[in-house]
Amino acid sequence: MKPTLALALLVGGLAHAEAGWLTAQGRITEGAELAVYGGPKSIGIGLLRSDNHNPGRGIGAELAWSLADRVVEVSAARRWQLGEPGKATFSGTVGLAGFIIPEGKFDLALGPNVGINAGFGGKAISFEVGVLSGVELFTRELFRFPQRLQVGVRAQLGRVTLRLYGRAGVDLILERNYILRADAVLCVGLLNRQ
Amino acid sequence: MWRFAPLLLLTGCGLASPRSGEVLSPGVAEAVFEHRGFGTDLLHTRIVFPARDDGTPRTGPFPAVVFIQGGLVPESRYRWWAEALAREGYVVALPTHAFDLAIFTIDSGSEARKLLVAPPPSLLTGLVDPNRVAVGGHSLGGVVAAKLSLQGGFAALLFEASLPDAADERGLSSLKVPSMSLAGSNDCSAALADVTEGAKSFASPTALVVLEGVTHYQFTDSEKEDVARNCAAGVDLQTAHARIVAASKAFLDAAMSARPNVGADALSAVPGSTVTTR
Repeated sequence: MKPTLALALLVGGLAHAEAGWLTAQGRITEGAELAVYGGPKSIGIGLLRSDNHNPGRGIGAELAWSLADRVVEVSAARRWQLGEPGKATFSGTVGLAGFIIPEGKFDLALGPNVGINAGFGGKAISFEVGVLSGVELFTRELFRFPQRLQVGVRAQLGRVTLRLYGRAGVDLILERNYILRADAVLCVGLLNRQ
Repeated sequence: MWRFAPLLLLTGCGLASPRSGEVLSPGVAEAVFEHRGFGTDLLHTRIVFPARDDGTPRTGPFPAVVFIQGGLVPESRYRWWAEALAREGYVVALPTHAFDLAIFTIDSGSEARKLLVAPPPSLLTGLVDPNRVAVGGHSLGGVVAAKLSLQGGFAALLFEASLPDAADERGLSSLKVPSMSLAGSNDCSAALADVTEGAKSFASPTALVVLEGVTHYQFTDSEKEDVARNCAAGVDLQTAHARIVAASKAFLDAAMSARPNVGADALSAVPGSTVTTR
């Protein structure tokens, strides 16, 4: 029982990011970063970039393919550093997430999400925690309210970054029962500067 | 050909909606459907149905049951029950759940019902009477089945070795469909006293049927878990299965008839049964 539940929390059979993986990070890194990621249920690619004249702000965009559900996930977010970076560094995100469901009855979904993230540590290694909340409106009569907690570690060696993130939470749906969600990904990124 | 492989990966092959199934035994076949639920999720439901020798469905419409697996028990372990009911003219849907835990996605059962009553072009077309779809479950699956029944759309509720969530007791006390709690007297997981107490939550018409000597896992295809924990059965597995099917059929036939009831007389005729109705 316990191993199964632990496994479920790590690599849940029903995934979906419902917001970017990469943007859920406390410290906004100066410059640009291209990253690819993969997990048991999805693969994706993302781009993070700080503003030219204000490294405390940035944007991020991701494109993912859900292998299990055969759904395209797209997300983009604006990021703000909250306070001065230090041993504990905080950021906020406001973004949009969308889905393209090509099979069966074609469907589309889009909705906003917000997140608060904290990174504990430095540029080289940090422990990351984030909470995400969103709304998703489907063209076929469905509202979902995804709520997630994301935890993980980020490491940087030179221009290369490595992240291992896990995410768990629920989707709340009006007048229906909750859906438990869990997922994990490994991300490898390349910065355009050290 | 292979240059189209990336495109195939991105668009998939379309959702699996079979026109025929694999014959399990004379008169019964099985097919696995893919269907979309909760917006993005790709769900899989095993359908066991009355069939011809070539695996195509017999002419419907038939009554149906959406059956929810017990916790950590693969849905395939209820295929024997589904097969027996299909032989009696029922379509049985067994939705699959991540890690065999229906509590992860409770509403997979509702999505399975949607698949039955509004199917894509497939063997399910015209196969199910949309007004005669029951929901049932074993153990933890019974808890989930009760939650599904409260959402409406189901014509009957069947509990197997289970008791409802306390949060649902109020809703179940005003549920407008027939219900049956089918219990085993030798159940070492869902104690008979607890099941009996839980059955008090159900609104009339309802039946509590206790099968003498039956254990918790005799509701599945094997009693190995009972044996492992020295939980002794009073009847052999084959006998237990025959009585479970007889009671299930007696209840479902009556609950989804023109005058819905629990089928008290037919239930009392099941060997080794003690029936309490109200």
